Parts: sequence; C-alpha cells; structure tokens
Amino acid sequence: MDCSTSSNLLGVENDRMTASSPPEIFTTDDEDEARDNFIHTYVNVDEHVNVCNLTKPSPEVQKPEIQRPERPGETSSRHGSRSASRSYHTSEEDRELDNSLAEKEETEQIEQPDTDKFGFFVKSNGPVNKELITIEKLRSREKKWIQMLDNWRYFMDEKFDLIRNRCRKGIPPSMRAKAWKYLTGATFQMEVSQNRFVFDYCMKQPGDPKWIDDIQKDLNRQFPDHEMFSRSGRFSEGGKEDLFHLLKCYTVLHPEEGYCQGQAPVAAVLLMHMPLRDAFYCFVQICHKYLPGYYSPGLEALQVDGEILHKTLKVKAKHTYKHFRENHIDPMLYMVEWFMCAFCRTLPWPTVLRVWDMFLCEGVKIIFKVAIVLLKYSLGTPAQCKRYPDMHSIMTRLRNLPPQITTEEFLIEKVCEMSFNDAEMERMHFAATKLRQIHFQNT
Amino acid sequence: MRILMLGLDAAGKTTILYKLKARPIYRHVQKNIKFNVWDVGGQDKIRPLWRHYYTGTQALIFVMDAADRDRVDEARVELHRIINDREMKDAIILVFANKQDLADAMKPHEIQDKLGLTRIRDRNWYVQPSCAATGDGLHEGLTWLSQNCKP
Repeated sequence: MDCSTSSNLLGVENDRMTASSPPEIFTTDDEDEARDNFIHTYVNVDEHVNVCNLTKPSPEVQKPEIQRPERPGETSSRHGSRSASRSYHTSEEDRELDNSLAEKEETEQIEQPDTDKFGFFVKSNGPVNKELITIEKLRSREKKWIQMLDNWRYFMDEKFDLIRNRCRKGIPPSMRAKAWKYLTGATFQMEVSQNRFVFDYCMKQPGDPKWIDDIQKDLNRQFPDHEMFSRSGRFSEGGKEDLFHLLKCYTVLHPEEGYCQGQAPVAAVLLMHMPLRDAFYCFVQICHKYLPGYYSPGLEALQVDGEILHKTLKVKAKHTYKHFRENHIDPMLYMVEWFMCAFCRTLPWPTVLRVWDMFLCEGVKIIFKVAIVLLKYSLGTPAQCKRYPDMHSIMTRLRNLPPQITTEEFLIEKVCEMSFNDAEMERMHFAATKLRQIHFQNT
Repeated sequence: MRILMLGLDAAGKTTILYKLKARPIYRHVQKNIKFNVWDVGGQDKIRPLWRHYYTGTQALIFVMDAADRDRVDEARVELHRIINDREMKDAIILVFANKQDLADAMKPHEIQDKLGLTRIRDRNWYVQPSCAATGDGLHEGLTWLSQNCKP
C-alpha cells in the first residue's frame, strides 16, 4: 500500500539483483510526519471499506471532538456546499479582505506567466498539446504501473516484454519518476546498494573549482522557458540550485571525467521529475550504464556511436546514407546533441518524455532508432536529397526538422516499428572501436 | 474517484492518509465510490513536481496546518497555484484545516478568508476542520467529496 514500503522492493536490472532483503529504511515510523519525503502513496481505499449506508452514520462520526463555531454547510446540510461556501461571506469586512487578496493575487499572476502541464511557460501563439489518451485510459495505465512497480522484480525477471511494451505506450506522468528510478536501477542504488551513501558523501565535498566554475556558467542555459530553470521563475532558485549540486556531485564522483556540457540538460530533465537525491542516482546510472563514456574527455564513445549510426543508415535509409557520404556529412556534425542529451533539446516535450520512457527501458538503441527515423523522414527520399543539395542546406534542414515527423504519434510509432539487430550492433561497435584504435596507433 | 492530496510540509497529509486507511473511519463512505488518494510530499523544493499528478484529478484535498499562522500566506499562494493550473480546473477543492487540537488553531471561516477562497465563486470548495491525530473531521471531509464529486 504505502509506496515507501513498496519502493523497498528490489527494482533493478537483472544483473544487479543480488540483495534478497533490502533494509527497511522507512517502514518503522509510519506515523512520523518528519519523513514526509517525496513519496506518493497510492491507496485504493475501497479495499478497506466496509460498505454501509451513509444515512446511518455512527455516533463517532456525528460528534467530532473539535470545538468550533458552527458554519453553514457543516451541520444543517452536508449538501450544496457551493452555495454554503458562498453564502458565508457577506460582511463589508470580508469584501475588503477579498479585494486586497484579489489585488495581491493579480500582482503575483503578472509576475508568473502561465505554464503548460510540463512546467514550461506557455507562449501565447505556441502549439497546444492535445491529449492523446483519455482520462480513463490514463487511470487504467496508472493502476497497471502501480501493480508492476510493486512487483518489480517479478516483472523484470518474468515479464520484461510487458514492461517494454508499457514503456513504449508511455508511462503515466504520475508514475514516471518512480518508473524511471526503477528502470535505471537508481532505486536499488540509492536504497539498497552500498552506493546509497555516495550522494551524501559527494554533497559534503567542496568539488574542484574548475568544474564548479564550468557548471555555474551553464546553470542559466538549461531550459530557460521552464519554471524550474528560467531566470526568474517561481521555482528557478531551487531548480538551479539542485542542478548545481547534482552536477557537482557527479564531478566529485568522477574527478577524471569532470563536467561535460551535455550533462546539464539530462540532469535538468531528471530534476523536473524527481527530487535531487533521486535524480542524482538516475543520472549516475545514465552516465554509467546507458551512455558510458559519452561525457569523457575526447568523447571517444560518442564518436564510435556516430560511426555506427552512419553505417546503420546504409541499411535503414540508403538514400540518406548516400547523400551524406557524397556531401561529407560527418555524423559528429548532427548527432552530438541528439545522443548526448538523449534528444531532450531536439524534440517537442511530449515526444521527449516518450523517447525517454523507452530509452530508460531499452537503452541506447532507442536513441539510434529515433535518429534513424528523423534522418530517414527528413532526408530520406531522392526528392528530399535534391532539395537539400549541399552541406549547408542539409545542416539547416536537420536543425529545423519538419514538425510532423517529431510528433509523438508519428515518431514513436516509427521507432517501435523499426527492428534492430542487437548482434549486428554489437559487431559494428566492435569493428568501429578496433578501427579507431588502429587509426590512433598509426597517427 | 481520483483525489490528489497536497499541502505544505508538515501540514499533516501523511497522517491523514494513514488515518484514512484505518478501517473505522471509512465504514461510512458511500457504496460505489472508490477513492484513490495520491499523497505527495510538501517540502518547498519538491513542489514543482506536483504537476505530474494533476491530470485526471477530480478532487484536491489541500491540507493546511491551521495553527501555523506564519505560513498561511505561503499556503494561499500554493493553493491558488494548484487550482489555477488548467489541468486542475475541474477539480473540486476540499481544504482540511488541520491540527484543530492545537490551542491557537484558526477556525474555518478565518482560513477560508486567509486562503482567498471566499472570493472564488466558480469552483466548488469546502473547508473542513480536522485533527489528523485523532481522525476528527476526516470522515466529514470525505463525505463532502463523495457528495460533490461529479462522476
């Protein structure tokens, strides 16, 4: 029931399922207000209900112990609270208070632009996100996810296909933070593994001034139109502070890697969904397991993946491949931001979240697939290649992708349709790495 | 019925939830209404994360510490922020004026003024005094919800 309890269930990838009984960190002080962590608790209260007619309330209910003046709607009728609520304020005094509050309210609202449901400030002429699924559908998915996360180990071991399919359909917003933590193995790392103290340790360290300087320069550059990272948004102080701490902690953990600019957007996306400590562990998992080496000096791993992407195009989008080869379009020209930031700076926000849902479940091959779909449908036909005949026009095209191919409906569907040979990927990766080594030795 | 329970930190949300889960209080809730309560932490740093829970919410339970006069302004700002969000425009609003057992606790009429609810006419809202520690008032609040929620 209580998710703080359920989150103690092992939620980790197969290879890390070693501990059989995680320490019960939170379960002893259920009533304690102080442990008001960022947890959401899902209670299906009706399970507890002994149904009984409302017209026969028990004495216990009829006589609340609270001493207070009777107010409309409270005793005379339990119905019609709306009119009861309204009828209450009639005195002049109330109206004055009303007005002063109204003024106060207005000034606050002027300072705060409207935000969309993701926390981005709404542009007056911006696109309106339409809902792709109904509330009922969302509710049913939430329930499935709750059940799945409560039995995570079983589903990971026995029903991974189901997890994958549900990630492909999109994780409900209310479950996303927890799901991401489970998918990445962050829950295991932060609650069970010996690494659970790493965050506290890193927080205490001052950090290398060089990296701190670099990080600070970037704090105002991440999602300036989001309420948590804008210059003056309602939550921007806290958001940027957390972003700083997260990135600093990572440089303490990996002084040899330090801070790389592509990391800040990734960290920011996580912080939009979860508190600092959770986001840190997710971030570390992403850097270690999903995109290893992407942020290291030299960006070696990224370049290897760039070459693999280029080779994959030969099979998946042959016109694009040919066109790029003829125009000497190095993959590093277009794929660095895509891969380093897992598309969070490239795609419309609803699509980003869908891509991340799949990426955190299936790994980097999702990033490859998204890249291929984007390339194939923006520069995939002979006609398109003709229209963008040189390097400059190709690059412009890739920086301004046609909006219809970046929508949730289109892109996610195409990505899910695409099959990908893991063994072939593996082979290409090996070949590309070897080739780079030989090249390196020769120069 | 999907209910989102929010409030400043230490307002008493989690205690309320535990009380609600206890059998005795719940006996009286009307048949065929299922309550799915989502209790989200209230520390100010994590308030931007509240929005992920908005979609599809039919009722907001906003819990406030009625004895904490210093933070009533903060509570008002947060409450209006939530209910002005377009995802929450259809949600009915139940305020638990919690911690009524404390001597200095504000009474419902004072709270509805200080929270700026009095002038809200286009929304269905209700202030329910409560004491989570004893469970007083919680059932009344849920009864109001069950009677006012559009199916």
